[in-house]
Amino acid sequence: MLIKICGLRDKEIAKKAALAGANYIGLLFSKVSSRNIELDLAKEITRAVRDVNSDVVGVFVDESLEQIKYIVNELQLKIIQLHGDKVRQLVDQLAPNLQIIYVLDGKEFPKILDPNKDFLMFEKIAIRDTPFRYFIAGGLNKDNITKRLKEDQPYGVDLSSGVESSLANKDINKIYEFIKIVRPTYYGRFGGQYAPELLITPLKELEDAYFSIGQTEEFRNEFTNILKNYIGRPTALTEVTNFARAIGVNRIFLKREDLLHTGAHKINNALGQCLLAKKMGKTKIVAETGAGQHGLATATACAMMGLQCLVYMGEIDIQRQMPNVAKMKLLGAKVVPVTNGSATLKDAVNEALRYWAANYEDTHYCLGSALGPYPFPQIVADFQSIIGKEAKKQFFEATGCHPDYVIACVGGGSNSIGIFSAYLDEKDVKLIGVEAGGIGSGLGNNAARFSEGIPGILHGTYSYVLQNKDGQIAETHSISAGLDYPSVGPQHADLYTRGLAKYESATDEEALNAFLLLSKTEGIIPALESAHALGYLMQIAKNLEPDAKILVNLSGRGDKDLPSLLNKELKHVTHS
Amino acid sequence: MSRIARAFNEKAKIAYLTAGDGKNSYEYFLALEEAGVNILEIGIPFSDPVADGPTIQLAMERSIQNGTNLNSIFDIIKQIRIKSEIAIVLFTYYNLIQKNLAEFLQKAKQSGADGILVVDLPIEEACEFRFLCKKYQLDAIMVASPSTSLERIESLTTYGSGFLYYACFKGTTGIRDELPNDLIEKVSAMKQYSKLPIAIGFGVSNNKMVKQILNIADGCVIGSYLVKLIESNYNLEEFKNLAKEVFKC
Ligand SMILES: Cc1ncc(COP(=O)(O)O)c(C=O)c1O
Repeated sequence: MLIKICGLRDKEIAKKAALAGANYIGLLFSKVSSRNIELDLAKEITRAVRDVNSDVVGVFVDESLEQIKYIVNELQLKIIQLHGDKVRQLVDQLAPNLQIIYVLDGKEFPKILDPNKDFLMFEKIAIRDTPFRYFIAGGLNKDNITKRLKEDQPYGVDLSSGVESSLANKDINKIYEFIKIVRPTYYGRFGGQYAPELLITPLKELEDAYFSIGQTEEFRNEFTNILKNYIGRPTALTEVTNFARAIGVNRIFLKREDLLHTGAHKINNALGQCLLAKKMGKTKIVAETGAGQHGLATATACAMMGLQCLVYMGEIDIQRQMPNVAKMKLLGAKVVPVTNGSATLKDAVNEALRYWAANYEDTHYCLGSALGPYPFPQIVADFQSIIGKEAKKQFFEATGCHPDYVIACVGGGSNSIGIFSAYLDEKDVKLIGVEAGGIGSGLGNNAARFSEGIPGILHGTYSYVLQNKDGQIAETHSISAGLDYPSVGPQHADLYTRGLAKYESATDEEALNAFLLLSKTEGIIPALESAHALGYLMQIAKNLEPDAKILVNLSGRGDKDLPSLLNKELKHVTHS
Repeated sequence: MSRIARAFNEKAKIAYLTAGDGKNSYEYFLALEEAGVNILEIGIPFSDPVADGPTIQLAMERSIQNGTNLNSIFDIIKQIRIKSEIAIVLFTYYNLIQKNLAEFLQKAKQSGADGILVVDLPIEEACEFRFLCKKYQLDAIMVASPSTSLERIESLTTYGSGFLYYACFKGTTGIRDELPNDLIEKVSAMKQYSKLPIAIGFGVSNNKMVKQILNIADGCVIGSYLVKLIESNYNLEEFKNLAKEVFKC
């Protein structure tokens, strides 16, 4: 669905609208309108919008041919929209060189328009039987849009007054909200449902269950009860003064997801999804796992709820996360090694998707991160949002304010979206996601999607993806199995694009150093994944404000990493 | 009349191979035409083919290792076109083409392709794709599956063109010995809603299955079975004979 926002007169909002997913920004040239724009400002907006890969549409109501041509030339417009009898009569002279959006109102139809190039726009009732692509427009707002989309089946929507806070003043929050209604499976420019046809019905079924069963008070109460009495929520918020002193930072608080039953945040999501699956009548669960934490969490949820559990895990990850493999087996799950491709998380997801496609009737795919086709990112982020809700309250109780920085590691993005989501409305809180920097820069050496990836599609979602120039997915490297994945959840791609969160990286070495330091100074052995967040904090420690208060999501504990680390990277510890 | 429409004047025999798997893969495609095939499906290899089973996964790995990319695919089509007017459908995953979609479709058309099937592009995401296919006069081939509702069959065949590909098994591509039990009922119900000819594929691997399918549908697709022949290193002549055998009716 194309989205055009019309009548913008503010450069910043225009750019933000484009980044939030608007394909076109309409600049209105009409002396009689309060949304009329001056050429100088139009130039600035055009530059800003094109900078972020959207485009502007020149909208003309009562200009002369000379004036239109002048503006087209000044702004180098490729597409224009013609309103009203006067300018529409000029279409024969404009259409050969420009793409036209022609506002049709039942009057005669110019033959020069080309359905392979031009658009129609309907302001009242759409005529669906046309070879042209068409926009709908005219007083679209939050309340009428769903109905109009259904009735008119447009190719695009044109929004104006419906996204204004007062006459001629566009409101970016309203724009974002609107785009979400028009493209419900997306987060700004990212997300969607790029899945084989076979999975579309199971995905819709899951979406329906989530929005019906999953939203009932009964479900939420049951879920909350399990979180409290089975896995030990709320988790503590611990101020780590020794660690803070050691790295020269004022105050650091850790959200202790490592204290949860099974040792990481993954259990929040696994329990939520398995509970939902059970209520959907599914008897089997399939899952992928990287670090083994999600596999373990799913195996645990299944054991507790009486569901059968099958976990796909890359052969390399099996080697480096032995304790979790043993635990999964102990809990009755079947662990299937994946030897294809890079034999890590990505390949495990491939296999789990394949299995689900063959068995969706009795099986739920319990995806472990805020990834994959919609509604998975939505569901996972929801079940992980408890981390942020608790942390925000606890942090405020402890300090009387919000943190200056919230830092979390980003694999697929579930623990980070879980803690970030509570702070999205707090403008002064800086959100930082930390990716795996591996052994340094260069495709294949890390899993730093935002610095080395480009937008693309993997596992059903449009997001940042590490890939080569042909579009083949790249291999990744990280010391931590849970961050070793070439794509990232679409909500993060959206936060990144809109500048609402920053994404940095920590190398294997930096993560290891943090792992050791936190263990020594605080008696807390972090998961290697979480150690990346701390490793990044150590990088920036000396540049922080002297009174900085930091919240770090300690997504998991490091027990799972010990055998492999003590055999290799930390051999000296065993022998000293 | 388009080449694809022409192929459906009789029962369509449709054969899939992953492009760039084995040496001179255009020769294998031409051999298929001699074996009686009238629509070629040319698979573009992708590193993460989630809808494919092990046979095609391995073929794709081999092909990528051989250096296959979009340009070499266009070359294969052009080489086929020098000798043949057979209908050609390109099979791809969306990541390979999404960045420069219009350019890809234009080049595909210029090389001589007739249709495009994107495995992981459901109609909900296919607006732009469908428009551009129409613009460049390519058929947008849509897939139906056992989970597809009859209502959706109608949409798929309204938005798609050429033919409807019914992937008749749940799961991934791969060799199977028998057709699903309920295939006849399924297909006759689908026919009430479909505005396009229906070709059935997924798992088809012997002549008995081909005959059963062509009895009830407009076309039959064979993929993994043929890919396996390439993997087994049959020479061109043997490959052609085995293909002829399996499609015989
Ligand atoms: C402890 C821990 N933290 C973080 C992650 C990364 O995943 P996500 O980005 O979804 O939180 C994992 C994944 O396995 C994990 O086990």
